[in-house]
Amino acid sequence: MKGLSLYQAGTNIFMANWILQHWFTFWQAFGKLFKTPLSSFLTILAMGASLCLPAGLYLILQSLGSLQGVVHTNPQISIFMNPQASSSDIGQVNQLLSQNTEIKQYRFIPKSEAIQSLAKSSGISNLLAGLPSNPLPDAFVVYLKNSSPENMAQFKKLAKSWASVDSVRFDATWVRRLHALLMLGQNFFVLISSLLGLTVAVVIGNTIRLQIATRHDEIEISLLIGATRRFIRRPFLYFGLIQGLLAGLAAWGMLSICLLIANTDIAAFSSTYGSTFSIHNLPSVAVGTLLICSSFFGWLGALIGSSSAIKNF
Amino acid sequence: MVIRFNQVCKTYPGKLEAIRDLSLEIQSGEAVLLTGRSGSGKTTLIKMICALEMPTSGQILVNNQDISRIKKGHIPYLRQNIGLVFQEQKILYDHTVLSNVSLPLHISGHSRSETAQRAKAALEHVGLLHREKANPLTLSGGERQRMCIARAIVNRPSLLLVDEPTANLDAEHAASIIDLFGSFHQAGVTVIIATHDDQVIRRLPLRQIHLEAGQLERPFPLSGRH
Repeated sequence: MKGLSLYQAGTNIFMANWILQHWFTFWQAFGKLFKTPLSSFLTILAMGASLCLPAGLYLILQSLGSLQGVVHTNPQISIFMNPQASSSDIGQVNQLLSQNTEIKQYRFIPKSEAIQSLAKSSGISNLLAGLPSNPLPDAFVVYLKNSSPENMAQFKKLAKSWASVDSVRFDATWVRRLHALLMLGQNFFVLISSLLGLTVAVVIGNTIRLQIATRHDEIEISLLIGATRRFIRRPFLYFGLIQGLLAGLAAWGMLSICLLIANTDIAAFSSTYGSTFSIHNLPSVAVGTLLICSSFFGWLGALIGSSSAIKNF
Repeated sequence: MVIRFNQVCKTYPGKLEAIRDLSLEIQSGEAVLLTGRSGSGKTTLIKMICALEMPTSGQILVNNQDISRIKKGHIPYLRQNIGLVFQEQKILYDHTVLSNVSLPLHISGHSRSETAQRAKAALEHVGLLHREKANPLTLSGGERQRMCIARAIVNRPSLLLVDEPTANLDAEHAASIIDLFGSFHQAGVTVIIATHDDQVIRRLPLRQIHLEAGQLERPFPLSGRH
């Protein structure tokens, strides 16, 4: 038991030393940034500007996405009943729709509800009130499980064949275009994020290579007296990690400033359409992701830069 | 630390044979002088013991560990148990004396307080504690060498490898350095000193391993060299 407790004590001391060494190395790396403050500041600013671009693109995509959420991305099919259709005709169509397994959901809109809705949204209620009778037909709004153009065309053909159905319409072209645009934007976002993340990694990797060149003697002597390559790399990895993290913070700061300026103009523009649309700042999860990604790219650049430079010793 | 060479050969690129079919044994706690002219293979032999150079053929055993087959990742841990005093001194001139001496302890993961305590003890042992905060550039040749010795012993190694310790030192400084190695030997450390300095050979009456063109030779009598 005594032996075991001594072993545990030894392990605890080793762990404590190991943690202390990492802590010490971390602060050493952090302090290194302030040895050349202007150079460090400019490098971080340049990397922050690089990261600001994909972060800004993400915000724009998010805002367009929320716009997409206002309208239905899943295209709807409108089935307009014949104006002379009786309630039993409507019941028949309702039964056909309820039996169709292709349908995700559907809703009946009686013509009385349709005209109320039109009066509310168009602002021509007085004009509509002056009409001798309701010109709108009863209608069904249908959402299919599979809203591919082929499937929708097939359903349109089927619904049109039903008795007392006057016309069937679906016009989701612009929604699909927006969806396609968002998909394109998302792919572009992934591509540009990867490229600019790589830029951050390259910039940090190069900085590390220069640092290693200036600490040539120290590294050479350390290796001669028993330093592992992992030990040599450690301060550089922390340096890259810290630089990446600070670049991420800089990107967030720059983006916030840009938004502050841009939102004033956006608000003025969207108010002309009676909207209060504005671009919101990054949510906390996105900020966290930005900081983790920028730190990762910094660490990666440092790992590649230091590994290739130390290999020459 | 027992060291055994079994038919070791070392050929550098360009077919330059530094060591030829060398077999020898150094017992644990023994101190030996590795003598021979410049280019006889002394430095190569020292470098092979700490895996700075690998033998072309043969076997080198350091405490029964085969250095010729050692994994690259294990080399640093081997070196952490060996004190090295290089011919070229290898000093960090942008660090203080204390920081230079502390480096091996920092590498082997000692706490900061223990590092400082042991580095100061090593500096005291070589008589250089009063210069702990000095820059190595301000030290004399002998002081720099003593600082290198302090760095080599700070980790309390069981083997001390020393390459030409008195090169570029005057007789007085050289004598104090030589006496230091004698004290380490008495403390039970295995010491291997590569030298072609007669003063070292005279002052330390130790077993001599004399190399001639990379091969083991009988040592020359000192009187015959004058």
